[in-house]
Amino acid sequence: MNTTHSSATDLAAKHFARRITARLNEGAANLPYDISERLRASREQAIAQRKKNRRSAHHSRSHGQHTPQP
Amino acid sequence: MATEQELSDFLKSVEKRAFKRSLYHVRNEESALDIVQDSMMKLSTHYGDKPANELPMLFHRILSNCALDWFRRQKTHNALFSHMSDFEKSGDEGGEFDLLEAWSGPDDGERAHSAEDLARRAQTLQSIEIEIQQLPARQREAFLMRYWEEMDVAETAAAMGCSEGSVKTHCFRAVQALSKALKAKGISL
Repeated sequence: MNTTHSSATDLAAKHFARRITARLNEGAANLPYDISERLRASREQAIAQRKKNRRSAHHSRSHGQHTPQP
Repeated sequence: MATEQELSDFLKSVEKRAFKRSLYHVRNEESALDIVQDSMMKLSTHYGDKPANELPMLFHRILSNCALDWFRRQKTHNALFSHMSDFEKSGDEGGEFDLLEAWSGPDDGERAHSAEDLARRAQTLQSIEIEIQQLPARQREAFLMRYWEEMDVAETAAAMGCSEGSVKTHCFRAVQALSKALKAKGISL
């Protein structure tokens, strides 16, 4: 009995939460242009930094491999 | 390891919600943008070699930590304590509130998007966002990660650094508080 009520409450909570987040999605999808652009720029900067780090790590490894053995 | 494309796609999929989440938290657009930018950079440079399926949990943990760092950097006593107090446990249990009673029932389908309807929807969204901002921080974090980011309880617990039981409790209290507040405003979803 209690388990049934608990499951029903959980289900109702999930449905309610989905309705709330559906509304939040509408808001997030309609962010002002300048905010969206700054988020895009931040993302691209983060990806570029990762690329740079990986390139320098690769370069260090390659350089190490070609170091003449004593 | 996540490919560059996977990492980029992940960030693109999450950036707007991350901005809104930070905004609910710090209530300042510039700061929210800085927090998201820092989080993206940290994920990309420190955890970019992790498998793609670990990115959501890592990113949301970083985002939460960056928001906390932002609070720590605030200089004034008032700014610090008015928000940091949100992280303390709340003792309120929500009384005899019945969620089943508050929930208006199954979706009745798409409604016409007239100008009046759009205005009403915008007003409803604003009310929802205000109520979300007013939730205690841990409840808001748990609710948004669990239901908006669609993370499971274990992932949410890992991202928040707490037990799965705490996540469930925070989520339930958040749902209770939101239901009660929206009902009081005469808003049915």
